[in-house]
Amino acid sequence: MFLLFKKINMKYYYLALCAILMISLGGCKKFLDETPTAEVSTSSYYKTSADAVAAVTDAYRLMKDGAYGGYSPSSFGDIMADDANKGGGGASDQELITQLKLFTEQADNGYVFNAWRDNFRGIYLANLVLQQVPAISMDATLKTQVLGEAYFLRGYYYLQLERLFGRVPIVTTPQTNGDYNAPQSSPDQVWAQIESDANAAIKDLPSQSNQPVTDRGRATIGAAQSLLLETYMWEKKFAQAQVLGDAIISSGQYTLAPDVTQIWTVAGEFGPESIFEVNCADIPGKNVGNLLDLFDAPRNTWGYGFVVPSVSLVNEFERGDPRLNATVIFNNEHMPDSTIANTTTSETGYWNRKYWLPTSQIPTLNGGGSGDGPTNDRVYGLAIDMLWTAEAAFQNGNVAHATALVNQIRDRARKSGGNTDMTILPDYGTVTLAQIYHEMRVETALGEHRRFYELVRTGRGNILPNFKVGVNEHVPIPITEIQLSNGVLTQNPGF
Amino acid sequence: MLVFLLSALPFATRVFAQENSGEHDVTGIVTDENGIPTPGVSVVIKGTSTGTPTDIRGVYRLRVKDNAAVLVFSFIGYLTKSDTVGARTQVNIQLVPNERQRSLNEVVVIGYGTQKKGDVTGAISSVSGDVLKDQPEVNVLGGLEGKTAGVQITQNSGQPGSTPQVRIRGLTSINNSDPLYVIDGIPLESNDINIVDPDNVESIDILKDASAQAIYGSRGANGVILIRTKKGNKNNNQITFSTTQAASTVRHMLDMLDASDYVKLNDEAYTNAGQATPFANPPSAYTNTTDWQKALFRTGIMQNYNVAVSGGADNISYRVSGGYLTQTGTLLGSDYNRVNLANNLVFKPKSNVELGESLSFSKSLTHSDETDSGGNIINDAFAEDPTIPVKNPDGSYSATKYSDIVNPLAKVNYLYDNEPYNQYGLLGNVYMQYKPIKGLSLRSSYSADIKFTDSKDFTPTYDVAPNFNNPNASLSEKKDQAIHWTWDNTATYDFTVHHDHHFDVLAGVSEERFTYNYIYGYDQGQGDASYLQYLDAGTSNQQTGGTQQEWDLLSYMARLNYNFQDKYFLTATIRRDGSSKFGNDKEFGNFPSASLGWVATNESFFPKNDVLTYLKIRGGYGVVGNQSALGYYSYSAPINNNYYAIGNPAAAALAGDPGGLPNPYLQWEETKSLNMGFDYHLFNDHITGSFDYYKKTADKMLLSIGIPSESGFTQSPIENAGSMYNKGIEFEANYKTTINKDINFNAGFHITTITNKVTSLDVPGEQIYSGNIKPGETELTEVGHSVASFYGYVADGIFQTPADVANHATQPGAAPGDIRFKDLNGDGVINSSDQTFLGSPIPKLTYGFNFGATYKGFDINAYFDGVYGNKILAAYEYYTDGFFISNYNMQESELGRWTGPGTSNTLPRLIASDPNDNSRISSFYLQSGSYLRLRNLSIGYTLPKNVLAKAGIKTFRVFISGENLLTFTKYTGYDPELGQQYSGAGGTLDIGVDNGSYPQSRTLSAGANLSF
Repeated sequence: MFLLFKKINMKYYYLALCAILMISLGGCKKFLDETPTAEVSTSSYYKTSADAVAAVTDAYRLMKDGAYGGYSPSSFGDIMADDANKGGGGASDQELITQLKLFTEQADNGYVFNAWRDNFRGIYLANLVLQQVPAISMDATLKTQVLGEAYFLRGYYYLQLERLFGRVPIVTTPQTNGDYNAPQSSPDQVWAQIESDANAAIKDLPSQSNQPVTDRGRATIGAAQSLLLETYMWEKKFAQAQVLGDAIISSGQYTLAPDVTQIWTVAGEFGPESIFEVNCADIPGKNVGNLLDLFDAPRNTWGYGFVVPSVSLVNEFERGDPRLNATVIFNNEHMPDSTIANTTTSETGYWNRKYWLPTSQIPTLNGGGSGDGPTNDRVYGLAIDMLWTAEAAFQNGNVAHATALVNQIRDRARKSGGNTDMTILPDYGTVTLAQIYHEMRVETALGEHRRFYELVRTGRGNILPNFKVGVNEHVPIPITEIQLSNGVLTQNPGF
Repeated sequence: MLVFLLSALPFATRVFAQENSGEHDVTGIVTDENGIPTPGVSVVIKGTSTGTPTDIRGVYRLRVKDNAAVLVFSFIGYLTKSDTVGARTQVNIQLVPNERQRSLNEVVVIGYGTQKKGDVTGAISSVSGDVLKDQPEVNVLGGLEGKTAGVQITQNSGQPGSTPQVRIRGLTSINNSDPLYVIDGIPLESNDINIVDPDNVESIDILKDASAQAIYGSRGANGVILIRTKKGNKNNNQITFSTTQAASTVRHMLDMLDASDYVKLNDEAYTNAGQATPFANPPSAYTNTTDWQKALFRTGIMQNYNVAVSGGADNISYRVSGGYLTQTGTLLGSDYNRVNLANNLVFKPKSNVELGESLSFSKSLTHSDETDSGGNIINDAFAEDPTIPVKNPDGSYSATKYSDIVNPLAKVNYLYDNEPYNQYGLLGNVYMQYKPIKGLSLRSSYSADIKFTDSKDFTPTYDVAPNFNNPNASLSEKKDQAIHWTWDNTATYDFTVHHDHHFDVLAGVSEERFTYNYIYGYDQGQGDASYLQYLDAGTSNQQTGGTQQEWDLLSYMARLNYNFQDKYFLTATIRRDGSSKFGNDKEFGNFPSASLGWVATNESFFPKNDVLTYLKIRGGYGVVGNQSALGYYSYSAPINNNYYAIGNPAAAALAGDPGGLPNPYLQWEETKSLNMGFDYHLFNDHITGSFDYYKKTADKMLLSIGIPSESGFTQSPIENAGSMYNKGIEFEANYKTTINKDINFNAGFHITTITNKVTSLDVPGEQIYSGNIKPGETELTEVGHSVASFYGYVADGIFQTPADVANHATQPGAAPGDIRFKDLNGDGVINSSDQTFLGSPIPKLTYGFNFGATYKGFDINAYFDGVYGNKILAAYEYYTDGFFISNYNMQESELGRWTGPGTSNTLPRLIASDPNDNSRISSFYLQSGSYLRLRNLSIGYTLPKNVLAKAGIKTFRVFISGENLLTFTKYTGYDPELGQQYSGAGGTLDIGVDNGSYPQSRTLSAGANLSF
């Protein structure tokens, strides 16, 4: 009996021992704590001044032309108009761009989707800054500047969306889980939003002379003012446009560069008339370069040969205009790097000059990747602002003021590119609207990607083949966005 | 006096008995069904306790009292035999196997232990390692294709070294449906199934329902595949050598147009669109045709060698094996070499202490071709211009000037041949088991599952075409490590109460940690020679990167198995898993399950009959989890380091880029699963089988769904969103019989049905698109329909005349010769509202059947399997059937296209601009995916033992076999069995779309197997 008792005891003893061993060997909950490695995460970000600056710097990245992978301003602005043909490797190469040009694009066009997606991402990043940065304790001036940059960027991205799509939802704070469906606004509401953002930016941003050279590429008052000026022009608020334009011109911050043909070189970046540029550089491994250098470089050299100048554009230039050679590469032309141009394989017989790089600057030949092109995209410059001011002045009846501005541009052009024939580009006595439009075209062709928008803004879209008035002023809203919105978004008319 | 009398009594009786006659000695030999003398058989005189076991020669000797004595012979695994002695002095018996007992006593591996098949109450399929023999399979799973109900295995057979896709009872979850693999108790996280040499596999058990899977808790939902490897046996010292040699060819290629027809049809497309043709010469001038598919495919060869030594002594048993496999794929540029070494050891220093170790090592080198939808060289082979030769007269690779297709052989030569992928895997385990008292067993087991990979991606300089040239050589090298360790501590206690109540209890704790890290380097400027393909030889554009990620799992588990009189069974399990992938407070999940079984035929009231000799009815319900879709740190979102140029001169300024939206509310995904069924034996156990009804509902599915871009992202963070169910039945029947002593025959059949439906997604009306091809998304997952169903327009013949176009609803751009799309909503206009669900890529039925027979030393086996009820979207037809004319080649069937009224009602006219958008996603692309395939046919011969014994050889068997010899299908593409389209979980919803996927091959193989 006693033995049996002992046996039972032994059993329970062993079982108890098991249980204790189990739990002690089993470890504790701390074992499960892991912090994300190798990267900062949202739970630990937006705490320091460096975080704030890095956050707003990120928002600039969406301005770059992503060519076939992202938003492509040159496809819409140059090719979808009469300044450029698609180019590239034949009809099948990026044929979605051909559809844009022929105005046969469908709502599932990849370029259209990328434009929507990338610009809204820029807006999201700006909204994130506006939401998170105010709470950071940091230098007050720097904080104001960061917030000002965010307002400018948001306004700029909404401008892109408005020009392309017309009816877009307005989002002013980062959307929280679940409610990703802001109602679709009318163009008037979007323009009002852009004006508001531009004005907020003007209040907060430094002027260019106060901006250290190490900060070039960040927005300044001039940039925000130019954004507002463009907005007024679209809204046909010509009176306010002229006042603002004159203010920019007489601010003393900017003067016309002496040689217009040197503006589009690496050396000519951030010159005296530059107001806002998308800063790109060949820094291998950091992905800060310009894809357009590759995209547009002549196909018989290192690039893909897209955005080739059209015959229409070449014919637009007046006799002897030095800006022609700064825009278009002709066959057998002697290039500055001593190579001879060969345009026989180009669809139009010309190559794009604005994004052309001399051999010494081609990124793949000096340690960079093909996407590391150094050319900056110019967005706003004094010449553009002057021409808008001229147009506004003309519309306000100040023809003399308009003529004076246009003549300044022509004078400068006449003295550029080593030209000695002073009879070219004669001054106008009284300028006409058509002449102002012409000057804008030859000043900015293929560089600022503005042709399509200038035609639509001034009601001249119908000169483009296949353009249907009332439909093709805009592109269709991406079909997937409409589907995901569950009925909140509706398609643009005609698509 | 009394004592004397008493002692004399037996003597007297004995004398009396002798005089009575009958009492005599009986002797004899007991043999088994193969005629081999069997020791240890119990021979008992019926009604007495007198008995003796047979000796080592199978001989017994007994003394019986009279002629009426009956001898009872019993031995485990055999039917008990009785025989009346009569006057005989020699009674020899041949035993007959007790099939039922054998089958019920078969050991089934369940999680953290084993169970007798007769006691199992869950749905578990068991496959013996023997089934895998005779098949030239590179990995274990390949041999399982089509063999068991409820398990669908698809190989990517053109890509040697790739692991197959396994689906147990359908697509369990939208994000990831891959099962958990457990090798000898070690769950695999780092390594893949290639760590196991197929020749080392003893058995495979597949856990199909929650009651079986629950012991694996958060990882059981997609099914668990338990693999047991061969161990040494102390009674059997042997050396085994086996080899298989196989040759594979592509079963079926597409017929493409020859050069002059190619030009003629493309010319026609341009003419119809009013565009100029780029072809300078008339079609008849193009006489030389290049067959690109023939140039790209070859006969693949596989050679496999394996040697194993196993044996043991009293308290130790061991097995050591080595294997070498080399394989070239049917597609140029793909090959695979692998070495496997394995050993295991079990040591019992005392009768209640067991120590064991096992170690597997594998090293493989793979070259693979790009075959997902971006950059697929099979599509290139279809579409490539047949007028150009593969190589130019000067030896350089040709390029077509008419389209953007890159010469696929050039791609193989310059790209894929320079991308070696090395993989080293190690799987090790040590354990200690101690049984302090009877019934109690304590076990502690530590495993390491480690994989290192080393991939090199060298791009030489080349200039084949304007869109395929590289002026600057570059090299990218990446080395990564995945280290996973598991520490299990379990205690099992089995005891019996009052003779009839058997309990088997398990309790345990498990800890796992998985760490992954990698570094990579990249630079440019190497020369092309192979000795210069290293980072130090580069001269520019250096980039480096690296990261580490970690994940932990802490689990508590308990299981109870109860058995009453072998009639009533109960299994209850619970596992509590905590994972580091969730935010605080949300880490733990509980996964319980229970199942019951009732052996009706063991009831006393069940009528004994010869038809239904065994019936076990069982049912179970449980909740299991799925966490494979989770990233390591999904509860927060990363801020990635990007850069933007600032300053003049520019410097790269840091840009903090949010990588996604965080979700701190994440929880476990759960699958609730119900299983009911029965196991049966018929006709004295000649037929065995089972039937199951299952329904599993995945809830709180982890999904990242598409969201409007105005949010700043196109995909939401991973959320618990959505539920989906799969239900169906499984039925299995196996027949075995011995016709005479020389001939055995067996046959089997299984069938599974699957019905899938999505019951909710996060947002009402939410739609998840997948199966993306050039014209758009082909599949839609929406509430109320089966997951990833095909969705598009309904193609309804071809317009023959202008009147046809006018009489139909308004279809912008349509003209005679274009496809007519059905006006589904009757509104008179064809637009996006006229799209509907067109069918499912998931088969309604999967089935298989097999036959086998042995005759003397010969054996023959045939396995068939098939699917029914699914559709395949032949996406490659976008290129090959004349829509997108950019001078791509087309199928020969295009010669039957519409060229005028009445010429065709199936193939539209060729027109370069496609104004009607004939190429939009519609039922035009859909074909039936049903097929029946002779998966495997093998014939083998085992040399007779007496012949071999002279040479000291134990067994020697040779065989020949064929894989995929016959396929019956209506599908016109390469193969109705589609390989995986995309790697990783991203492809889970991209099913049934044939974008030029690798074709399955037809293989002939021969091999031999020798043991000493």
